[in-house]
Amino acid sequence: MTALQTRRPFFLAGLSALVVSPAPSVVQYLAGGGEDWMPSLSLLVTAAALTACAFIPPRNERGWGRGVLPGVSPHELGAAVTILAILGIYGGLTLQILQRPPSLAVTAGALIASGIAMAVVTGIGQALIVLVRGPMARDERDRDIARASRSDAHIVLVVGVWVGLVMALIDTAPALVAYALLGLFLASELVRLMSQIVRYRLG
Amino acid sequence: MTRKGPSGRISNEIRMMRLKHGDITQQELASRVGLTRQTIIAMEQNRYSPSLETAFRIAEAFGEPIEAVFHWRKD
Repeated sequence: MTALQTRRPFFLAGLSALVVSPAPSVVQYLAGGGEDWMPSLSLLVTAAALTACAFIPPRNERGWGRGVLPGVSPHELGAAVTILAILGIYGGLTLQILQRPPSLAVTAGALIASGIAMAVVTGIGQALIVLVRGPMARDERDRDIARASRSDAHIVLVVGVWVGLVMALIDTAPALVAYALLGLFLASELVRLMSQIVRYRLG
Repeated sequence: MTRKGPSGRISNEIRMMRLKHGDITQQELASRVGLTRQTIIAMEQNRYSPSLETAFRIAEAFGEPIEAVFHWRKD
């Protein structure tokens, strides 16, 4: 049985991702009335990577993959992938907003497009980890670390609620409140994921 | 996630026990006690202290009393 036959779902998913990858740019283009748009390059690259995975032989037919970073939990790798996706996608968006504040419609389109891009990039990242490392089993250490890192992120979320409340009370522009809340939500996610990695590494 | 008490630290002899009991692999031990290999690696490096129930299960997997596998040292 060839690799392509056993990896048919990956091949089909990859092709589908390639077809829909321009969607975030189209959404942003339409929402902004052609004013500004974000290219879907990162999506195209990850969709191409997923398609390429269809040609990787199954684990029992290849001599690599099983022993890749044996001491590193797949959950830790997943956290690293999500951190990179957040920094890459929302970092780019933040730079765009700081350099040339766009209209509210463009920003809304960009947020929807970024959400789609995040879901696709992290989904593909997790799929690649499972493909190379095998299924992501979860045991008591993973649950302990997840609970502790959620608690760390909770502090940032609490600060976010207070910042949003104060901004609303002093009549800040709704768009600015939205940016601040989104920024604090992303900061809490980054804190949760980084706390996870630190706890996996240092114990 | 080392369970460090107010004035003590838990250590273990898992690696030594694996070698003593027929060179059991980390993956084999992990499967026997329902953990992942990464958690066994973290325990051997004293980066993680298991729950009491898991500690008993590991000791049982080796057929040893729990105090032969896990130690608590006062700081």
